[in-house]
Amino acid sequence: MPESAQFKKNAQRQLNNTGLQANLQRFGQRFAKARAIAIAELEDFSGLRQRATAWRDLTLANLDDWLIRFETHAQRMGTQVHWATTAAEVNQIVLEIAHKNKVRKVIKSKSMVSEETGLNAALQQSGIDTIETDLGEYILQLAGEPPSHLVAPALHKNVEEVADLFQEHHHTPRQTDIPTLCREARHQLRPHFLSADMGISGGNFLVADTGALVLLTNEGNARLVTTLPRVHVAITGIEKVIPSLDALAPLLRLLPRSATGQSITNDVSLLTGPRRPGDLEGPEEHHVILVDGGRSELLGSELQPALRCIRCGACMNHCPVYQNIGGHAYGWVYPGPIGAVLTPAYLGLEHARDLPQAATLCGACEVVCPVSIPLPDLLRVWRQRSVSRGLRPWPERVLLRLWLWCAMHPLLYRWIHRRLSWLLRQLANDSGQITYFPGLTDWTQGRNLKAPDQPPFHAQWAQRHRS
Amino acid sequence: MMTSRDLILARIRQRRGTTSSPPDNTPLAGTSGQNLHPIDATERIKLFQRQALAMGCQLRPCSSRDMVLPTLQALLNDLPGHSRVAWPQLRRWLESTSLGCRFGSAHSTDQIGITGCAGAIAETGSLILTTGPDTPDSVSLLPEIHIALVCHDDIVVDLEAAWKHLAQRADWPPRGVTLVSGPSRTADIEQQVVIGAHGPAQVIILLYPG
Amino acid sequence: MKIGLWITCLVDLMRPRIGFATLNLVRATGHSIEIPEQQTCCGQPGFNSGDTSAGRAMAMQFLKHFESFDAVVLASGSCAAMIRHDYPRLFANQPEYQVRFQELGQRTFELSEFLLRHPFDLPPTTQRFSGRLTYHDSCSGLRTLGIRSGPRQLLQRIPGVEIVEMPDREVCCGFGGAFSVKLGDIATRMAENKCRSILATGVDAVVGGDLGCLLTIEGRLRREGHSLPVWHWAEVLAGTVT
Ligand code: SF4
Repeated sequence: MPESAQFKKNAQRQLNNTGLQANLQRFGQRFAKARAIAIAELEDFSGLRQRATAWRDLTLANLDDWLIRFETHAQRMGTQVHWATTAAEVNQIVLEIAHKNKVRKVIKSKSMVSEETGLNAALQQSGIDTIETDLGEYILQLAGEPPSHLVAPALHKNVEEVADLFQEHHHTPRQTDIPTLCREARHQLRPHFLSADMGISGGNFLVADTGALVLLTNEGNARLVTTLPRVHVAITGIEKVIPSLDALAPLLRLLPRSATGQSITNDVSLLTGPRRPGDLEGPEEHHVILVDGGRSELLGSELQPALRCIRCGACMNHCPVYQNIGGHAYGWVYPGPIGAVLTPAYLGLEHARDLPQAATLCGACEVVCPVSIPLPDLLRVWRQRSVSRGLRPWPERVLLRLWLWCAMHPLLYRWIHRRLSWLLRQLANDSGQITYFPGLTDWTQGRNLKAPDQPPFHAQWAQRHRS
Repeated sequence: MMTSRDLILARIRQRRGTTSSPPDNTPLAGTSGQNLHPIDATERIKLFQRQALAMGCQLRPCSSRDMVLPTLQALLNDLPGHSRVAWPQLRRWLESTSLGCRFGSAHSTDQIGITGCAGAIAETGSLILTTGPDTPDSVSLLPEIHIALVCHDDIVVDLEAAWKHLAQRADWPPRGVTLVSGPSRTADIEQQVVIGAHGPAQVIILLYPG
Repeated sequence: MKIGLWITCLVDLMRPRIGFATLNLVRATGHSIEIPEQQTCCGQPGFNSGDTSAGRAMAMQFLKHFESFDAVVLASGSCAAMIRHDYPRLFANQPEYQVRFQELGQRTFELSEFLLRHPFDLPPTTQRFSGRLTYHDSCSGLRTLGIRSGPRQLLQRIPGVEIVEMPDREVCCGFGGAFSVKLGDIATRMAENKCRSILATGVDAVVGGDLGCLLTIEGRLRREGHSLPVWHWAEVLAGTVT
């Protein structure tokens, strides 16, 4: 059973993990505040957001056509386009390409889809050395942990933990100065960049009109991964296609600003095909793998807006639940509000039952999402499906039916409120506080409940009117 | 047998409930602007300088094209690193001088890479680099220091103008187009920004009038 | 103008005083008021738990009892958001009902929205609060209805009231309806954070516009041993607390 099925337990564990809590505290509102400043600099954020949303919707409405258009243009430029229905198929395609090209070493820049498929393990199992090059992903590879954030994967680690990992794996003296650690990573990884046979990247966007793959990075690693090795394989979801560079502009203005508050990432690469005649460098083979992995299921459903996601991470940066438990509690690749929507879709609701419940529906995510994904509504859709598929625990189901029945019968409702009011007063201590309530321990474990000190409003009102 | 391609396309068509219709992006084309008001060349150059500085670039304005070489020479004298590589495209311009650089693809031992650019974007402070036999990407990527020669006339106002500018090229679309905005950086350890990750740690722009 | 007063189910059961404070304030605008006897709950517990049909059933009940009024007033941002924002969406497939819900939604006001549109004098009282307050923005009111400055403006009409803003004031308190009884650990931690922000202001009392949040905040403060008063802002404005 995937970790995502154990949300409540995971969350409890993370709340009591003092190391993680300190790291989350440090992270705090940092990205959120940087975003606010960067967004305020825009002349017309809401107009820009509307256009970005419209562009994403445009391709999603005719996704098949746009994918074919991308494929045609990409192939014309010499890119080999592959289609994969499942995670397993992705890995199989990558392994085939690797074997055909006698690949012994792979360098990777960040790819969330490859996290979905467990690609690193598959490559290692076939004896192919695989090295992550995004600093955060590299740290996690050394630690043997999954990412906990879309943009800052190693958010849950502090400098001391990184220092330990580097000392252990690099056999170098322990350093705790952050710039020194970054330099150390550069020195350690440079030889791998130069000796790798294959580079694997994700893809932020696919431009249908030109057949280009668009990559956004800050570290420069994606450029190295896509320039130096003989073979470049990009793995990306089918929903990432956009019509043209016209569509790219608003998305480029929004993605880095929403993510980290940068006006643009340091590198934006548009890659079209393999090396050309006369070129001194560049991969001899360029592959793009288009991955379904559950995405097509969302099309045409109430959940379709989730496919607009451009993976900026703003929703989790602003989510009070995420901020308190971190990304690992969600138990799969995508954490936070968008993770709570995508995980049940890609793994099956029965493997992620509690994720749609993991929100107060406070709406902070929806307000900041650069492509206007109504995340609270989408979480509610999953809650509806949980109810209609009978996936909620029976006490909850019984209570809901009971509540509805009473609420439909006002006289009964009045009577129950009077009894409840009385009962609450009985349960209260001398200062009117309830500190334990059978069946409501999730509330009373951490909060008191102040009992009413009068009969219900309607009871009093009725009495006044009678007298 | 149905291929994965057929299967995925069939699923998509089934979900969207219609058969194929030709994609059309006209309703949205040309509406993506940030509405940067049309600005004149002087403003554009100023904006580029401001944004490039904000992204962490260093600027060396030159009063004329003739001043580029002396400025570059002085700059190289000040910088550490003797292993220099430049775009073959710049050979004619730089070769006559005693800069002591190689022309071609960069090696991992090169410390300074010198490039021109295919354009520059005022809105974002970005250099537009395109790959090709004369403009290998590695020169702006492997060395610690990247020096770019940018002509005022190369600067376009915003992303849309950049796409238009690029689309006029004979080799459009080139294999690689990279918008480079400042030195590479990472914030993956405790969200502390550190300049100089896998790419250059310094980007120095020599800006000259056309 | 005939006004229908909606008493939220939480107010009815847990804090009837808020209901009476609301009544007094609406009365002060001089309009005639009725409190339909048959009202129960707006349906949020069902709707947010994923029971759409329950949401629809409660919406129909609301329509039946309140459609005849010129305006409906209630002292809760989240219930007002449910009525104005969610009811019409629940009837997307029944246009004739959707229109009726839209129209009724336009006539439904959260208390501060209503009081800002209808002049009134503060109800006379001997015991009105004066001192420093911090105001907690409840999520639905804030983000769905855009209620931000209204309650603050109204509170500032009281002589001697000063409003001190808390850090991270727009962060959720962790109530979230059923969330707070399903995922108690997380809800508690969120409440703890909110209380820390509140206490950092050093105010004399904390106020808000939604009872769910107030019960959460009060419950956490008391558990931590703090006696800081927690009120609905209507109680302060109506002068029923000191
Ligand atoms: S859902 Fe929206 S805010 Fe969240 S990662 Fe995706 S695009 Fe960003």
